[in-house]
Amino acid sequence: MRQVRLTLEELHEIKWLMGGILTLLAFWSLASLEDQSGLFLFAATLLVLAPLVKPRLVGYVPAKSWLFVGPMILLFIVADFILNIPNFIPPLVRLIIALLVYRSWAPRRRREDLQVILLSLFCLVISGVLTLSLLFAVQILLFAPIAMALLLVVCLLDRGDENAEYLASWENFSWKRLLKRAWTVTNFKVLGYGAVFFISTVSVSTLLFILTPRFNLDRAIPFLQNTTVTRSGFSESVGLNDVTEIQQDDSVAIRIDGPSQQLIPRTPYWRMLILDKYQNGEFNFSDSIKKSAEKYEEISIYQSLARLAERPGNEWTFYMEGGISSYIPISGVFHQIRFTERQNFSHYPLAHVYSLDAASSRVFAYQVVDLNWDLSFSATETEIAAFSELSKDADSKDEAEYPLTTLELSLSAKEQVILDQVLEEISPNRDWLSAKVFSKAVTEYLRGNFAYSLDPQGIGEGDPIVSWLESRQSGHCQLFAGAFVLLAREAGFPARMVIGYMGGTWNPVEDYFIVRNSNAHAWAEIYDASTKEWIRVDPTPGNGPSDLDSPSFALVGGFDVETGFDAWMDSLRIQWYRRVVNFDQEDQVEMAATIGQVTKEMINEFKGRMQATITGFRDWMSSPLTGFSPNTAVGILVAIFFVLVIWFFRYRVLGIFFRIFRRPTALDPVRRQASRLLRRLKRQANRPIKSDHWNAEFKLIAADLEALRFGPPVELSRARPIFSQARLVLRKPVNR
Amino acid sequence: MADIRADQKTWQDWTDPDFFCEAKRLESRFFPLFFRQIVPARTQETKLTITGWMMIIISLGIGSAAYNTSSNILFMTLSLLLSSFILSGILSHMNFRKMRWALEAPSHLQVGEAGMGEVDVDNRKNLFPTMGICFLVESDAVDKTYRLYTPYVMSAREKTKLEWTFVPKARGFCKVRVLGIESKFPFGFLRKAKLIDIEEEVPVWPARVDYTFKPSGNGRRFLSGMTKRKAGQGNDLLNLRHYERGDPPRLIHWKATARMNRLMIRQLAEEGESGFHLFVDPDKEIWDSENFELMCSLVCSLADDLFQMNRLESIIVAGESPELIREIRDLHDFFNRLAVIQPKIVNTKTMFSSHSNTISFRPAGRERVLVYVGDNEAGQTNS
Repeated sequence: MRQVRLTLEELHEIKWLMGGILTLLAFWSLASLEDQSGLFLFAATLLVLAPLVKPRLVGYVPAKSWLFVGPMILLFIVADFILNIPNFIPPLVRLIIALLVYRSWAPRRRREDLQVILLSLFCLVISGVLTLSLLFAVQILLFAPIAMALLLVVCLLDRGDENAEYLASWENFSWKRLLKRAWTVTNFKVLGYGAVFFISTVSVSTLLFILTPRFNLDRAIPFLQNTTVTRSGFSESVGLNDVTEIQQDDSVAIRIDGPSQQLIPRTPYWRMLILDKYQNGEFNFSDSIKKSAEKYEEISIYQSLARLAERPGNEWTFYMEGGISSYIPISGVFHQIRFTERQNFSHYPLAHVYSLDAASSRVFAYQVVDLNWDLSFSATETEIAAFSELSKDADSKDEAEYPLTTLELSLSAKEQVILDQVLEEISPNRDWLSAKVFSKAVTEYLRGNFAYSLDPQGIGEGDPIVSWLESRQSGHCQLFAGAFVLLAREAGFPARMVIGYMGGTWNPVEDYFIVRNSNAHAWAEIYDASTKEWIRVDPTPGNGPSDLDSPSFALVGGFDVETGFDAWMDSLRIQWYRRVVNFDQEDQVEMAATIGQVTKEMINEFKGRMQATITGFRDWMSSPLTGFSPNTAVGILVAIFFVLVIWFFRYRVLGIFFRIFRRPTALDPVRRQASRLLRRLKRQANRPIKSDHWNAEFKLIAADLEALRFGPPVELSRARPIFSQARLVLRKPVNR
Repeated sequence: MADIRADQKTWQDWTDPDFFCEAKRLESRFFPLFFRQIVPARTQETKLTITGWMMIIISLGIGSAAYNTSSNILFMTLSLLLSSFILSGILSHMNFRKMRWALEAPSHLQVGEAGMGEVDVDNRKNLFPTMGICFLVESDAVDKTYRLYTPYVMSAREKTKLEWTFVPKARGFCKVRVLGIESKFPFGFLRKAKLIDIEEEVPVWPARVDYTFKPSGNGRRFLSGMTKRKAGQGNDLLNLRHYERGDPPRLIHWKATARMNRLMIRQLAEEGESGFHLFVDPDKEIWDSENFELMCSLVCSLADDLFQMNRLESIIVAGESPELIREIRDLHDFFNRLAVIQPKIVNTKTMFSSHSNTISFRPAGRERVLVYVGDNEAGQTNS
């Protein structure tokens, strides 16, 4: 039957199709980079799609025009690099896009196809390294088989000079016809085995990934890091609705891998930044705190000065999504923070705030050892000294320095009167013995008189918080926290606003904590002079008890649980971060230890079983005839006999086995018969006296028999006359 | 039997590189026997292609970047590249498995006429196709090694023939060789080659030349209608014999064939004109190298034409016993001898004087050879 095969033209068409798909895949991977090349990429995608859908378009480009395209791209790229100094990633991405578009239009021979594969791989790797996204895994799994298939087609078309300059003509071309033809020639059995091979390759790749020796050099060079713009709600200057805007976004902000959900309070607060300075209706992170920053350059571990009384050695791994903030969400004091790569890191001791130089554009992982979840922070010496010297009646000054900024009220006299009126309404005598009592009273007042709404009402002229307080309309967390801070300052308590995340959900598929952007929140911290601590106060309705001594703050666990397909998909991401992105020498050692443990257990198990068998055998040996029928005994003896026979002839058996394994045709009856006759003839030939005539006959027949034995397969009918002749020679006396 | 031995000569078993090595076959220890299954004898050559070198350089680059940055994305890419190398090796091994091939050289060649060499390729795998294999072949006739490519895909159990042509330039023996097999399958990273030098010698007959041949009286003429009790091209049935290669199909006796269940040929009695006896004298004293070649070509052409006309009785080479030309095989045997015949000193020149229709050849200058029937000039080569 004649085999159906793809023609040379069709193979070239398939090659074109796969090259186009690889280019599109590369563009897909680049799309996840936030490097301001979006429009360029979109235009490039359209330019790649056009010759892919209608390859005939390529023919309309005059061949000579390609001479100018190369230098033009070069000029464009050089200009792009110069204009973007020192930022080299966006021009690099644009360079690759331009080259891929060029390759999508220009005729492709073997070398150009290899270029497409390499450029696409480069795109995937750059995008993977910059984003650390799970998409990289999907894209590389799509890239690998297509690239392999393209390499295969290129290899098949590489027939020396025969087809070297052949280019598809695209006459009467249609994708429908090509796909139909491909369907006709496809052998699905072979395709199935191909799939098995691919799965094996991925498995081997996984094994290599795990087994590749890693060295904890502790000097990982930051490679292709991209910075990005942070969310304005988590920056140093926060507008009144900025946090609320973040709340509209339900995407995941942080995934936290901790020892147990029982170690997380029921309502966890993830502190990112404090805003101490209030001016013109905006809270800011004051310059005086920024000046106090302890800066560390290129460190991979930061050891906190905070020491915990009890340190259970728990490790919390945070995976913060890219583009959120340069400030690191932390629940409280901790012992140590570690990074996967060297980082420029700042600690603001006055504010208990930690930040990087810039917000990462990709997932940023850090590990915190011994995390504390307390409601309060110890105040620093500077703060204690500043607040103890301050008389309660002293007026706050403009341009005050921290910690006095926490008492600052840049309000008009009229607005201050309004605040006084509110305070009098809360307690006519203003007899607050402590910050805790004050906090409880104000929180209850705010919760009792103001409703919560993401769409605040009643913000009028003048200071937005004061006007909101006056209006008694609904408001969001920033207004509640801001109102609390202003009232506390008016009452003489140092207070500051804190922004970060509150709460979260539990993913039971992989057991980790999820904080979403919709958990973004603003709350307040008030200074308690009696304990010399900053105490967390959340005046927003529905967020915990107003009494700061309430036992409910000690409750742990019991979070909302994420279920369904989304939870499962999200668990893939944490697995990606845990098992792939952050796989390191420690994991390797841990894995080796686990394997060692399992092996040890298996050996012990085996030993135990062997011991039991030996003991049983010994017992039987001591009284062999009990519990055995004569038939069983005979059976055992026969088995022993066979084992001995096999042991005696083991090499011969192995030789036969290997020969059969290597050459199954050795079982051919013609070969076996030829072999037998050859042996007999050679025995005969070894006899001392032989006539010349016999020798001549022997040589002829031996050559024929050897041809039958070792040559191509011969039918029995053709071999029979030779066998007969060989027998005749064998019967003849050798010396006559 | 000779054909069985000839088959063996051009037959190779790909799966067993040390097949013809008896010493190794005697190995009976387990480990050497076992390891030989894994690492076969070094009859194969594997070289990196430019693509392969490029992939290695890229792998090294990605590997060093991975170690310097501890980026697992790069480690992942590296491991995928390495596993694709492994896959490439496995597929390449499978591609060569159970491949059988044999060289089929033509039985003879003629100077100035295209000859064709064939390589029979058989993919004996039950499931997997074989792709992108190339055979390196050459012949003495042309100073060029040809690459014969199998079809893009050779399905399981598929056989194919690869052919190439060449034109021999001189008579003698022409060697036709298969130098080896090579393939870059599957991804073009490696060029895997198996170097096997298998060759066959093919006789190259002298070239055909233009000549004129007009014997006076056309030899001895018999009376018309008389037949000889000798096989020939007459009308009377002389005998029935088994079919032999080269017999014209029109002579098949269909009734006898049906009865005997094998092809039978009508042997007819000869009638009419008598034949000629060719006398070839390779005497060194008569011929120089140029007109000797011309004489060989003339003898070849004339013998062929006379045989076609059924007028060639026998051929005598001076100093050797005469050979009767009964069938095409006899003629071909003579041509094979003619392919290698060289001028020599001939001591005894047996002329069959009893045959007045003996054709002999004499030189006439460097570029002309005359044909004599008996003592009469009957023709010559045309310049």
